[in-house]
Amino acid sequence: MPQLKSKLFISLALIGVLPALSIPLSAHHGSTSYKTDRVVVLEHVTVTKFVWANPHTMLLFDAKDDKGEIAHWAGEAGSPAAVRQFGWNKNSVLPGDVVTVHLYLSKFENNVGRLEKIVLADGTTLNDSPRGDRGDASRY
Amino acid sequence: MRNLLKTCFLFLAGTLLLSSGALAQDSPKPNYGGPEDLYQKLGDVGDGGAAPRRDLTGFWAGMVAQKLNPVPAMTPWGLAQFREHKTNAEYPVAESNDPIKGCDPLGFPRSMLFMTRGIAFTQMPGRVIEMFQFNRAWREIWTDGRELPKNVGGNTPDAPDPRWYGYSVGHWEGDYTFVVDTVGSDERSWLDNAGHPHSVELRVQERFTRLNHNNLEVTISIDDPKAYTKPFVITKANFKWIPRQDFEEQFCVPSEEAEYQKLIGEPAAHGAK
Repeated sequence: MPQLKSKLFISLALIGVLPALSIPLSAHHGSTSYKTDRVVVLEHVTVTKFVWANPHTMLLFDAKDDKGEIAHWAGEAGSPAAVRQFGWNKNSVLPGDVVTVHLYLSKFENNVGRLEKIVLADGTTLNDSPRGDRGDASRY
Repeated sequence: MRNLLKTCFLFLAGTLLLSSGALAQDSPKPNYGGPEDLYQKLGDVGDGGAAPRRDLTGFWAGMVAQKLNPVPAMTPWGLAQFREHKTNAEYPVAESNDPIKGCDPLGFPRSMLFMTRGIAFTQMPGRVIEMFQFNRAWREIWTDGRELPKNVGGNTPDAPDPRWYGYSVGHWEGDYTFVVDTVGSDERSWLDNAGHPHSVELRVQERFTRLNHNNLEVTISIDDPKAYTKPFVITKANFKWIPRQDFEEQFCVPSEEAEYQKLIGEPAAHGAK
């Protein structure tokens, strides 16, 4: 009986330990600023500015919120040197263009995000370069 | 009892699988499908013919970030520096203290480990000049037989100042391997993107081997007893001949950094509108 109790204790102890061990697997995932567990899609937004500059390109756009009011957004993508490899150039989007934006939302949900991709009016898809949260790439 | 143990084991295994599986399902696949630099885009450049003797001249494409070996155990000094460094990978950009965030020089040897999309060499009597696409920085490698300076950063009046890109001398071993030794790198630069430090006592050796006309490889060794408990090889990197023999322009521009922080960095880090 003591042998049975000790084996049971060990088993229960392991059950208690392993969920704790599994937590770090999820703690080190993704960007520290963005919710990278889902992609938010904003359709038919209007570009107000496209910044082709280091450290990251930036897309500023207006989108209508749930109440139909204009909300100002800012999304970042890789540096020009990085996104150029994915088909972007400084004239890929111009003020006034209507595009669909797929992005990872800021953890504060304050109209800021990291672009996953954008889809232009003619259907062209421009993907972001690998995100700067990769430990080895570190921006640019 | 065996059944109880078996049940417990299966439960534990399931817990682990569920954790990792949930992580994979919730994470959209990042867009790593395309080449992220010219090096990858060029693919196999072929040999282009035999390597010229004692000549690295030309423009070379490298990966945006080299694959680095793990650093060895750090000394207490090294660890203390490391713990002060807040990297762009671990912290929101607005909270990072990576020196390149404010457009400080990348420095050496980090400039041979990261942002190595383009490097170039030109040779002139008594020295080789290495140029970097990133920030259009350059460094000189003396080949006139002079010795490396001693006591860089020391407290005596004649002690040379540390330099962001150090002091370098080079010599050929045979006709195709160029060996470069560097001392005196300014401690303000980081060794790598992970925030590992280096001291001014760092000695770096690069062994560049021109494999053929189109391919160059370099092995970079680190010896910094103030920061690390033993010397180590940090990377073996490859570079390919750039067909158009030119760089793109790539600068860290303070005004662009400021605009980025205003529009993205601060709002993403601190929730400002």
